[in-house]
Amino acid sequence: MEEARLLDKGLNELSDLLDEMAKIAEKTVSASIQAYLEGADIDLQVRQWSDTLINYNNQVGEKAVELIARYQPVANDLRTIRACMEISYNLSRFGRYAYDISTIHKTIGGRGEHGREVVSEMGERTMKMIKASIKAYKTRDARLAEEVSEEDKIVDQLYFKHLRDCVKNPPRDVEQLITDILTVRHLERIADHAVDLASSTLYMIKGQKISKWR
Amino acid sequence: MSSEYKIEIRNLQVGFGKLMVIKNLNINIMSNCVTAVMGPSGCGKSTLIRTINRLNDLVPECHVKGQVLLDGRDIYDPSMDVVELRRRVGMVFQKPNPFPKSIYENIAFGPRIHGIAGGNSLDEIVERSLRAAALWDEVKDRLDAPALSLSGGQQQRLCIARALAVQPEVILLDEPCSALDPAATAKIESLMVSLKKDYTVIVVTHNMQQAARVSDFTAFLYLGELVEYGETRRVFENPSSKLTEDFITGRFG
Repeated sequence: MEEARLLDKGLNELSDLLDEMAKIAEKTVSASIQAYLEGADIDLQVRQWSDTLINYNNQVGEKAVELIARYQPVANDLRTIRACMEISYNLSRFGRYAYDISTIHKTIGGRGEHGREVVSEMGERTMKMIKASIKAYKTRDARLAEEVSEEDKIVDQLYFKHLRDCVKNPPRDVEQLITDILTVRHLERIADHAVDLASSTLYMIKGQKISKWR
Repeated sequence: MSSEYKIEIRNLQVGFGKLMVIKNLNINIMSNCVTAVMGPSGCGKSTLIRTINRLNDLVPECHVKGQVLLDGRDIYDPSMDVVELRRRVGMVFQKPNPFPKSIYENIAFGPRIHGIAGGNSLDEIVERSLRAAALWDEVKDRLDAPALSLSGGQQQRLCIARALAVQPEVILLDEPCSALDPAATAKIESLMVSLKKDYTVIVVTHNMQQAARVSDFTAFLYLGELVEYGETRRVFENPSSKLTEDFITGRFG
């Protein structure tokens, strides 16, 4: 039986942190979309989850730097550590944008029927992207990682279509307009971070990022 | 031949008696670059670089097949002057091995044998060689002191200076830092990188991080075969062979 490398223990710790973050991030985005659609106020809870993610992201950064300093990792190990730092950052951004969504209608108010349909569809697709990007990372699935950027194109189309619709037929209620536009904007950003997460996963597996990305 | 290659090795096979150490190896070494050769013990690293200055000739039962071209000319051709070859291809070994003479005499030894080129005085050659090996400032006031009174790291730089004194074109270094402390190692590593401006440098090392720090190209040998060869950054970030991956990440070797 092969002796475990000292580095492996550290890599496992990184992996555990990311698993925990992935669970919270997914839950946070899902809850903020749901709260928007139902008009519920979960601002405080989402804030707490978002802070937890930021805290975890700092821990991942600390651990990654320690592993680099101690073991001078190379090849797959080095790529994994870089990917973990990037993935952890993207997961923390999911949380932050989810908090932004949950806090908009609390501070601006005006959630209405106007944006409901687009938020519902973009929300669904964004959640699908989050799940796929996390699954691709956990199962080291390069093909699934690449598919995430395909879904992002649809989310972008929905986003720009909604902006054009707002220009053509603005709702009378300005608060509603602002809330809806910011919400879809945040969803569009979350989707971008899912692509970024998938791209880091692809780099970890193959040494190259998603080529069509940026 | 392409002029960017200082050394071209073709279908090289090296054995000692019945034991084949290098099996049909092909590699081109770039001029004015540092090339690192790494691999587990017994993979043929040292044997490989010792074929480049024909040091293996001195080992009974050693047999070499294939071609080793230096500037396009086969160094195993019977017309090759081996003494002249070893002037052009200098070598530094794992343990510093200065002669039991003064610092000055260690450097002057080679030029005395090979003759002094270009009208330089011996004093000039000694100073220039010690400067090139980043040792001059530390020893200039005690050139008559015994070389063996120097520290290990200084002795190793003296050996590099001794190799440089005969104006070689290629410097082979076989584990040059494995007997040195980290500070002395850092000095030799900087030196290797600065030497590539004027020389082609090939270093055999067990220390992966050293290969990663100093080399432009890295070759990975396993059981006498070249498994991977490419730009160092790529080899260490994204090696193409699973064997290389497993070796450099410490999964075997």
